[in-house]
Amino acid sequence: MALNNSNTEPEGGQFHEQLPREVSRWTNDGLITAEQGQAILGSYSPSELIPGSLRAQGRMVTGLSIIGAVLVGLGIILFFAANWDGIDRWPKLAIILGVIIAAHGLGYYLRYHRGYLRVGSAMVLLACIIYGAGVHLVGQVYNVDVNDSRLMLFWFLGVFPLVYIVRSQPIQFLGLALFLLAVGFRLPDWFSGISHGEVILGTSLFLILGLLILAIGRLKEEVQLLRPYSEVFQLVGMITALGAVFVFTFKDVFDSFDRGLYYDGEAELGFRIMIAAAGAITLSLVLATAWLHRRKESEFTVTGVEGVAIAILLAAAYLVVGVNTGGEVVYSIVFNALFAVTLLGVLVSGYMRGREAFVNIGLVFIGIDIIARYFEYSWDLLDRSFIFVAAGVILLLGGYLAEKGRQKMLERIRTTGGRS
Amino acid sequence: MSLYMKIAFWATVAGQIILLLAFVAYKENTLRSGTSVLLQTVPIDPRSVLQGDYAILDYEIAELPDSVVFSTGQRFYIRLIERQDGVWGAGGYYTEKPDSDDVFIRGTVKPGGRLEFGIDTFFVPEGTGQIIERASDVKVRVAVSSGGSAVIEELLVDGEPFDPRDSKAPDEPAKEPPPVAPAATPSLAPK
Repeated sequence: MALNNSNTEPEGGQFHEQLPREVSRWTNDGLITAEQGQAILGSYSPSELIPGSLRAQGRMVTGLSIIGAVLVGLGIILFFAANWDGIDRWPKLAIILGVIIAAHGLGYYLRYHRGYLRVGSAMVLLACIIYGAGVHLVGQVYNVDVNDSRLMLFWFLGVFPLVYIVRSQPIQFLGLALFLLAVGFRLPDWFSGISHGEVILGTSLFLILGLLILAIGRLKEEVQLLRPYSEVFQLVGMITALGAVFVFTFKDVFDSFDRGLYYDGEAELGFRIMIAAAGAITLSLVLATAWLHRRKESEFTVTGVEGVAIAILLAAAYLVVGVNTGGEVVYSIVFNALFAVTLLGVLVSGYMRGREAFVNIGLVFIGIDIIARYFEYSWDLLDRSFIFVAAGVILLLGGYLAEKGRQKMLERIRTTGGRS
Repeated sequence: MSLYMKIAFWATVAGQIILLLAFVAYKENTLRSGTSVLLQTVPIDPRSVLQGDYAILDYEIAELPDSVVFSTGQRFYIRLIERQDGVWGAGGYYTEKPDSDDVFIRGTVKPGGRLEFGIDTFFVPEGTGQIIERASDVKVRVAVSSGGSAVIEELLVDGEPFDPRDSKAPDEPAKEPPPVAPAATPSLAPK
């Protein structure tokens, strides 16, 4: 039976919901003054004091608005994709520009004038998706190559400032996703002078960028003003970095090492600048985070361990770019071990810091890794039918154990609020 | 929302519009001021998730002569010379753009050793890719700027401008391709 939120309301949540009523009663009973009551309530953020039922409604509105925005955006993209035959290019461009401005205007009006934060943010998100459709429409009108990296770059450049202007997690997610996509579309140009080993170089870059985004998110958590921009950065960075390490757990990725160091020729300057700058900034951010955190708590904390873990993964990314061990085995063993330890660290970090999302991400990657390793090592050895039956059993068993462990862990997080 | 944030919000929206218009202006400038040339091509027909149906165009001039030493990602400038049949062919391959009034198109060597020019995609209305796929002769009229960048003006299918309404029956047999006119022998420029 899944954890039932209605029956297991977190103790902290119940306390926050009851607090305004209790403060009012204490004031009426003369136990505290009205000023003291206000001071008590003022020490909690307004969002904490909102009843759970209202918070759930808010989440539902956010979910519906975002799904609506994404569906409308996808519809518009598909509409343009059908090439909109029969309309000249100037009316096409006028329509797309008009729709972008109208969607932004409506989002601005709803969010900042009417106070509909969630629907307003969803409209701005829709405007950003339509802007991306507009960039690709211009590409279509002028027959720009499908894989032209400028298209994603323009989309990213147009959206990213809104990550910090509009305090909306979906827009933060879109901005970061576009950054990674823009880099991904640029990779073939950076590696055009290389004969083999592009997967290793590309994955290393994404590992470093994932760690960079994660490190930015961690630093923001330490700064009160930037805290609203922290969580999405940490989640996107973590998923990107874990995804990259997961790719490195396959021994076939390192096949190109059999042909010597993986590139004949050189990766272009853009790649080298990106990989050097991202690593240096990541390390600086880790140190800055540790310094800021140390001012608050001098004792040993999970933040220090996280910083060390980021530094180790960063070193691994540079090692694989710079050193050829002469075979695929060493690296795949090292990265499998690193992946296992990292996943364990993500679970522990999620538990100790009270982050359900970390726990869920860790468990999903553990499940994916089990399936991947199973198929990687047993595909050639066992009968196909047996493989599928056994895989099914493993998945069911794994699902049961994961669900059981997750429930226990989340219950502890909710009970203790992440404080061990 | 503070005044600064309001300004930043609308500045970003303005930035989006300006970025799109700048992209359009760059392409329009090449279309309006560039030299119009006709290139022989062979189309292939895939699909883009974001942008719909399109044909990949593989140009006759994209093939580097055997004697040219090249590496993937290397940039070349091809001098274009008009042949008697009106199609423009390669008159020389250069790694640097020569100081000349001739028409040059800029290309980059892609894996496999062929050149791409940034005009290798032609978008068509959904379901009309078969017109290009089944044609026996496909040429592309291209505007080439003085810097060597190119924009597609129009696609000629069997000598006629591409018309998506001119869809043929799907079971009609494809025509035999006509012999391709010999390209001008490219002169190999020193690198």
